[in-house]
Amino acid sequence: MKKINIAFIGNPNTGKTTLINTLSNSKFKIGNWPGVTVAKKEAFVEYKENIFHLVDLPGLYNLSKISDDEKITTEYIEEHEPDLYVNIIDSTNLRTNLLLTIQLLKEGVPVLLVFNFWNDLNGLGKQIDLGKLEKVLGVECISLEANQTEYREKLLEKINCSLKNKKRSTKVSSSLPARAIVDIIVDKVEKKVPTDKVSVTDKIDQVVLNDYVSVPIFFIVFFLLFKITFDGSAPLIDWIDQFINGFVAKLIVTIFTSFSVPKVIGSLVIDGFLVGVGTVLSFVPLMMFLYFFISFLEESGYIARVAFIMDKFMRPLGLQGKAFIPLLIGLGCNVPAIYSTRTLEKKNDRKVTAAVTSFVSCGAKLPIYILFSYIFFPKQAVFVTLSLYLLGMLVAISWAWILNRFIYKDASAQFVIELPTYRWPSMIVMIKSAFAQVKGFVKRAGTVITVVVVMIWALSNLPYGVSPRDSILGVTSRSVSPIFIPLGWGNSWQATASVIPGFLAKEAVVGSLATAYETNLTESTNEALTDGFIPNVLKQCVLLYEAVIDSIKAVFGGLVPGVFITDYSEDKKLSQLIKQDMTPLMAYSYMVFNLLLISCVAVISAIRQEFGQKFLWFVILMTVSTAYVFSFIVYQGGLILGFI
Amino acid sequence: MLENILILSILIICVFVIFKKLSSHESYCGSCPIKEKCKTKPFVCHDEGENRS
Repeated sequence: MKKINIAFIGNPNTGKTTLINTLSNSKFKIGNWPGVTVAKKEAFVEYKENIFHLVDLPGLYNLSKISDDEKITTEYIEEHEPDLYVNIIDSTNLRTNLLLTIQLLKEGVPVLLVFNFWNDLNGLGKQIDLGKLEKVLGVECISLEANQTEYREKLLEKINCSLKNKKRSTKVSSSLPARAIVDIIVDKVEKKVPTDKVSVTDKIDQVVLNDYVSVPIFFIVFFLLFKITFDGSAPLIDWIDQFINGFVAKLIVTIFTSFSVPKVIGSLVIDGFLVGVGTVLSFVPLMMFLYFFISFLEESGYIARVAFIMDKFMRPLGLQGKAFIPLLIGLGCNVPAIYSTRTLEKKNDRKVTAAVTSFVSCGAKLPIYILFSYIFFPKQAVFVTLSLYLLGMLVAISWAWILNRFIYKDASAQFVIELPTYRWPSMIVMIKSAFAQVKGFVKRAGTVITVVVVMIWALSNLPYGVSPRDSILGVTSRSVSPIFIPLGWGNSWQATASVIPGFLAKEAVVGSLATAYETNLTESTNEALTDGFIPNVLKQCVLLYEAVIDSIKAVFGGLVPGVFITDYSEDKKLSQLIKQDMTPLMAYSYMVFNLLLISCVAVISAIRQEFGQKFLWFVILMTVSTAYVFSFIVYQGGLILGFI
Repeated sequence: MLENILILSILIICVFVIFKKLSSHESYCGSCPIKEKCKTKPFVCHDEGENRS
């Protein structure tokens, strides 16, 4: 089989990655905003006698090298000679897209033009004569919808034909500037039928981008996101929790008792592994809901609008709205957010944005908030969590202002963002995106977090037989905890002990906390399984069914203002133990500390990789000191105001 | 005594695994798409985004 190199190139947000996913069944990240792809990605497809090596290049408007992601594409063109360039064009925006096409054709490379979003043309009253365009440019064209698999075969065949013909345009060697050529061609091939109809996108934007209601809408959207996420996932979280503690733990005890397994091994498996990893895994439904709705916002085209809305507020602070996109991506995970700063033209803008991204609360921190919010603020859990997210954003923006003003004194570049057409997100894409993120969460639970919680268990059991308070972990944490006493939660050595593993992965905080608190205290779960195995499995199936029904009810109930369905079990052992040690104010201070602390080792790696060791130390110092200071202000300020 | 030795051994294994993980490509290369194929040591990214190894 012959390997054929095919490069996918086009303006940002034209559907290049979507098309590659459709052709190769890959699961590359996609989104309805400019700048999703910031690094070269590759996929392979077997077709007839060939293997197509598909290269997804970051989007760009022309072949100049400005931002880092654009450099990747222009340098690829300079250094590689692919067998074919597939130039994806947004049919609804021909004039802008053709500029890159003309520049490509002037380079004399073989090109196939793919017109995406073809069905949207009718709604805009536009028509493009592809036959005429083929003649004018001297290259082949095809129209399709990138997300629909029915076009897969047609496109692969067209690529095959283009490879055989190896057509290089000889008609665009004019000495005219590319922009002038574009204007001439568009006038020839595009017809606009006069229509009084306002497009759906324009109608929605009249409301969503309205000067007075855009910000309230932004807050309502994010409030609903958290409310549905919390209410919908709560019954399933409860089910997983009781499944692990009420079924799996008892099953293990039954097996261990039958085989007379030593007590220390039983403690390791149940108190260490099962409690720690089980607690983390119980938040899988929460992650699923969160990433599903973030994907909904990304796919619909709303994220690009948020950048546009925020530009108004961020411009006076010396930041451009485009910098808000990495911050929004950071709501899912800070690592891709740091890479997405490549779309910013100026190095200093990149540094400032990457530095403050760590203050944006990633999905991995959410289990900490949900655990503490439902223990200490059961009726206001959504508001408490939302307040933490807002605090993170405010701190990020404030630090951005400080850095811009005093350290990286470099005015921001002009903000140009193309607002994409609103599209109803594909359910499959949203589910795939959520599954990919949850898979990463579960993978970390199975690797890093398992090791961390087993370490915490080992440290809290050494020397064996003493109380956890007098163990190595207890003694060490208690000797360090005076540092955290001004923050309120320093009296809980378990809380202190869980902060360090948080540097490895934020999910480990909840796991470590559960292991540290519950070690040697799990007598109630150390019961053998009664009623036999099969009846218990059936009972779990019934409970799961009920949890799913409750979750569906909660999602729709959550849409009714003022209705709070979630009732997280306050009788959980971990909840009771934490409640004995902390007050609501201490808990909030603890959440603020974790919110503002750098997320994990992967973020540390990403910053080091993109900006170097010196800048990494600066970011670590900045986040640790900010976390400490804000946690201190929250606790001490709260005490002064009379909170407990 | 036996329990202490066992727990200490588990702890040493955990510390070893964590250090191994921290010094791995997975830790250094973040979300680099070709980290699995990357064989060079020390881990140096040849450029940003493309041709990382």
